[in-house]
Amino acid sequence: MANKQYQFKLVLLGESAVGKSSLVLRFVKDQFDDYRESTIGAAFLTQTVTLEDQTTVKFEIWDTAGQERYKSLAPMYYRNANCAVVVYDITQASSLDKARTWIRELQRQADPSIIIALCGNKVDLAARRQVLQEEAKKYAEEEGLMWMETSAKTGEGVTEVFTAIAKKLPLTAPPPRSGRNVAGARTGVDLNKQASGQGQNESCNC
Amino acid sequence: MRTCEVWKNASDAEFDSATEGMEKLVMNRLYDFTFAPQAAHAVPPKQYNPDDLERDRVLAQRISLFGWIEESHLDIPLDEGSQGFVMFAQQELLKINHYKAPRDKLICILNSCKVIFGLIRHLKKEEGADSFLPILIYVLLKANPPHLMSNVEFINRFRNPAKIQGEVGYYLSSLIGAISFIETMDHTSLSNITKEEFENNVEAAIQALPVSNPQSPIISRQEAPAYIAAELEKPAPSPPHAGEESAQPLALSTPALVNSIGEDARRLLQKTGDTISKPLTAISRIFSEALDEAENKLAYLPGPFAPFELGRERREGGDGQPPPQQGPHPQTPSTSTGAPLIQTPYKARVRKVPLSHMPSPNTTTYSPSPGTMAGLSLEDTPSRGITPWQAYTPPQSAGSHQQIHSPAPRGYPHPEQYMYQQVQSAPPLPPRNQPQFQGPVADGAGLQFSGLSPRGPPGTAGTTGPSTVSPLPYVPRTPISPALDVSGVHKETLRQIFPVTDVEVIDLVLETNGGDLGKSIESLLELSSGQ
Repeated sequence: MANKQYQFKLVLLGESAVGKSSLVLRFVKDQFDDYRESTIGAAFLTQTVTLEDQTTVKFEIWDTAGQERYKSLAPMYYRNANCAVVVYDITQASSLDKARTWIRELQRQADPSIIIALCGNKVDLAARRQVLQEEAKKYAEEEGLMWMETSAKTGEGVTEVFTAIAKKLPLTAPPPRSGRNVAGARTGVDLNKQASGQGQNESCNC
Repeated sequence: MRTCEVWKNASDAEFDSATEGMEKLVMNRLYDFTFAPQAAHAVPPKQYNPDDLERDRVLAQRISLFGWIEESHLDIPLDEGSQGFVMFAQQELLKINHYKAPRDKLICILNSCKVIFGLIRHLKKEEGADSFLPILIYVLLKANPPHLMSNVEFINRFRNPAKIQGEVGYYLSSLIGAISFIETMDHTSLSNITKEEFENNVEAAIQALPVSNPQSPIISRQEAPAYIAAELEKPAPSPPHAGEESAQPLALSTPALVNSIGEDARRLLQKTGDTISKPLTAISRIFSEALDEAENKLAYLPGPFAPFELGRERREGGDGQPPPQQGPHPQTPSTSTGAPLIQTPYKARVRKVPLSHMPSPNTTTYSPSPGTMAGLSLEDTPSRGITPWQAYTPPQSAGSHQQIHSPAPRGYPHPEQYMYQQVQSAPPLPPRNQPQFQGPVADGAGLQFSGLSPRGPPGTAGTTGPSTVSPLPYVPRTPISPALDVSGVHKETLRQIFPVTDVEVIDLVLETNGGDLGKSIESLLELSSGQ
């Protein structure tokens, strides 16, 4: 059995219609038979990967809306993310351009230690390929990203993406489970501190 | 808390439930201090964060400028069958002001999201953020929940941080994202609209804003109450319904009667201009409880309705304070009408039902009499940290009459004590005593079960089984009477919202609820969340 378990937040970025959601659904549903429907819906999913040394890595996968109009909301989702999968569609050259802008933004705004994987989806449609493997691979190398091609439809390469990310994550020093996942800073309440005024002068209503 | 004797030997699960119960207990009691809209109108005055209220006002006003937005502007491919989902998602979201505990408020958000995913399945769209977020924004625009910013901040500040991670954190972030989108939205954020059209629509909405006539058709039914509430900067819907947070799911022993009363209540409440679902829920629960508990006391039914409604009227008239009390208690408000507490010029809009519209012949006597005070305080009871059933106990039995006709309760030394007196004077209630006195650990057992049901903890779960159904006639467009001819459609809808629930279970729930879609969804939400 697994001796160590780590949990990481993974954010999923990419233009709409590149198959982000399908990719994750494929990953989540294929990996294990005991796939359990998420409580609320498929925009947030979790999946566990077991590595060769029996370490288990649990991904919390945060899907984002890829439409341009929601671009400004992305920081709420990639905040505190440990890794990101940026998806493009190999049959749409423009989707790689969009992926590049996501990657630039992540490099500038996200946690500096974030691991980014560039993922060319829809290889089952290779006949209509617009993005050459060499081109994407070269770009990924320049930027220090992981890169692979997948097909959410056939399942090709899907598990491999997540396993590769799991291997690359800093398992020696798992991140503390941060309480800052929710957008908006929590200021917190110091219960030991003497509150100024509030409730001081009035007895409880009870 | 872990070191306390009571929980020292509790299992992790038990302790988790206990902390949930404790959070709820504490936050219920501190609601007047911690929830800005509540604190702002509390008597005596409490400190509160005026920024919250300002942001509430600004957001609600902004949303009210976008009432004209259609699904096509957000590229949502709604069809005819979608409207029910959208309405239901709105109503789940609007319930956020019914509850006080941070967990319960969160669950309202999650349930709304869950219904949205039901819609996505219904539309056969790819499930994911690409389809989810636009619908969430649309639902938010249509619902315009009062005090949304205050609610979100309240959750952020007071929910156990460990409990707003993961999935819950995702959907809370999405809601915050949707709010942020609305805050910055312009014509470039929307599809199928030109700059001119956008500006004209907003201009028209601004023109419509200062209408003083609440019946104005410009303001749609859903928007009106929220908008008015926001304008008033008062905790309009929350205090009257606040006691519901742990309201008890009920067995529908006499559904037809309950429903017919619900219909009456709805008609009445439509006149009030309030959103239908909230008061209707409370009232139908009250009635159901009454029926359930004291069927032989049906003759009293119109009675309790009146004082409750009057209590609500008065409360909505401008305060969120604890029960007005007679006598020497320092919190005693002006005994006239509560009007002095009203701070805005909009009161006329909120003054809803003239007394003569009240169904009970006793109405007028209740209004100025101590009896009203009793009704009022009864409704307030749960808002002071007490489990729900006490709040609903009084109208059904001797207890309530005693309260109503007796001189005003003096001072309420302690809510439990007051409640305990109620219990003693209300005869047929033995089973309900238990959850109340068992304390958080016992309640905790229910917490685990209740999952996503806000009505779960504490205090209700002990008597709530998965087979009980909660009579919440929520979907206004759904026929209240059993509609057998549409049951097939309803089944299909339910399957889309609850894809993992057994078909037999869905059928059974639908049947149990007399074919009422709204109630069935309610029941299934509770059931599925307990899985």
